[in-house]
Amino acid sequence: MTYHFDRSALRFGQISLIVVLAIGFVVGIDAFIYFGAYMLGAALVAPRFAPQLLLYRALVRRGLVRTEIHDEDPTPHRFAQKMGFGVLLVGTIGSIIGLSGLAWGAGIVVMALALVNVTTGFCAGCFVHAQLARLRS
Amino acid sequence: MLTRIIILFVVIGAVAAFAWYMRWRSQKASEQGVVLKHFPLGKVGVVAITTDDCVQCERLQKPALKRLQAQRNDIEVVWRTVDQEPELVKELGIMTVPSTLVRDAHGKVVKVNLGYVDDRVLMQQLSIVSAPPHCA
Repeated sequence: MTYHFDRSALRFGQISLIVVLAIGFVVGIDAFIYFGAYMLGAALVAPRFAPQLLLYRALVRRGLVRTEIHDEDPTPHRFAQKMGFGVLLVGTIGSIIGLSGLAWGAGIVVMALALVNVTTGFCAGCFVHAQLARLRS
Repeated sequence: MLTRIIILFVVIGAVAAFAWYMRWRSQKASEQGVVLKHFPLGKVGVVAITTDDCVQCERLQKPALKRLQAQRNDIEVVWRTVDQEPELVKELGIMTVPSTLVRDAHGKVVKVNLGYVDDRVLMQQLSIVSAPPHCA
């Protein structure tokens, strides 16, 4: 099966999330975590309503950002997005019940892993798999 | 707010240090000159390291290597699991999957990629590895 996957859109989404979470952390407003969770959730279930993708498409239309389409299965990236969404959801719940430390702990983890992925292409889940396999052998 | 800015810089610094460490490990492993004696010699090739449960290997690295082979049919691609090559994994300091080892026709590892790498990068790496005349 042939897939068409835009790596530029993925990178743009990751950078957008990093910026949102970094600003939210510095100004100390928990709503930025809710917004981060919404960004990832919307990208997964309704990309038409994902703000980072709307912005990306607008920038592509104006020629300010170029697409980078590859024949690539998006499943691993979607899995990573689901993981990020899950962690930010925990952060959101933490914030709602008054655990701001938990909320921003989750936010920082997602931000750091997104930053690692953008800068090195390193997959945290794959690292865990490899270490477990090494321990088994 | 100052405390939060400091924490943010610490996190960014840690990520930058990790990115640098990954590049350093990859560079160091590439310069070790490890020879893969138990792989068929005479052809340049790629050894891909995986695990049984590596989704990224199956969904990303494998198609990338197929695209690579479609462009260069003179190369040999071999898949090995971490369990099958524990000594090699330890020797080269492979810490994640997928990892790819680019080897010359004599079996010498000339490049180690830790993490997913696409066919374009592998093509560039293979272009500097030329088979000796008697093997061509």
